[in-house]
Amino acid sequence: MEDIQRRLRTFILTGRGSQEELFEEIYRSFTGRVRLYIQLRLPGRPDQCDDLTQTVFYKVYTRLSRYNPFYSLSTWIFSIAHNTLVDHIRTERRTSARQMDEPALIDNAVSHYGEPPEQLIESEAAAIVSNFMEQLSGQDRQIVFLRFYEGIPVERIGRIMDIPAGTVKYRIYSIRRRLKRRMEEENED
Amino acid sequence: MKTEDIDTMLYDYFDRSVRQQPELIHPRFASVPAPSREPVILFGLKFAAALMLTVLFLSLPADMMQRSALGEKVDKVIASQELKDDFNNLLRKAEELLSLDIARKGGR
Repeated sequence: MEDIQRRLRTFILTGRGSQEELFEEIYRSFTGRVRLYIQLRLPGRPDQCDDLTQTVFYKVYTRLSRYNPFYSLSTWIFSIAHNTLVDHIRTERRTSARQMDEPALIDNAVSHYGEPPEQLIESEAAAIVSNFMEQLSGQDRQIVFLRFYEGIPVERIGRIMDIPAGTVKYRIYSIRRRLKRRMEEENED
Repeated sequence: MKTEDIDTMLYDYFDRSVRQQPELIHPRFASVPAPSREPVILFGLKFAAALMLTVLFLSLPADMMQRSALGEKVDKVIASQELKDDFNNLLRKAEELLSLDIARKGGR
């Protein structure tokens, strides 16, 4: 990951290296993660998630020369993913508002995340976590993903999602506390 | 249960989810022109120009001050010279008029 960032920096500043190869690596490294980030907000819509993921990487490809090499690559890519997703949700809202017969997509509504495959539930604890995650809002799932899986600092998550860092911090604290309580309740039973 | 255990469980959850993601076909953006290097070149040129201007700005002021002081002096000299010339012209004309007057009176 750091290697990609370093080589990308060299490429941007000196023009050394192959852009195609760099993009291939970025694509390989980020595609699953970006798709999951989108899926957390659009559960149960695999085709849309695929399309949006491709759109995100199209943008990454065409904007690669404009990337600021002193900015974190993952923050940059997830910012593009987030903006693409927000644009998509806005367009969808406008369309559904016009049609009036489809419910509008609500950002923070508790939505069904989709059934995880049986084989993925490796243990009881994992099942509790899965169940807990399903009950979180799409935005909270994205925050948890960026913080705990991507390891992105709170301030940068705020920048990606365009919300105050304090809000991100509070939500993380609240999610941790709720999950901890849930685990303890399950253990008592 | 420690906070670190909660964090690990959350990480594991996403780790499984990421591994579950389908392999997307690599998009071949063949029809898309490769991003040009223009922004980088432009940035380099702008940077070089800004650097040159800074160096010029830093090295010139003293010289420019001297030039402007000298210019003021020259202006003053020119202005005083012009005044002197005007005065001489006036004087000459007065002398001419005077001599003409004398000549006219003498002729009478």
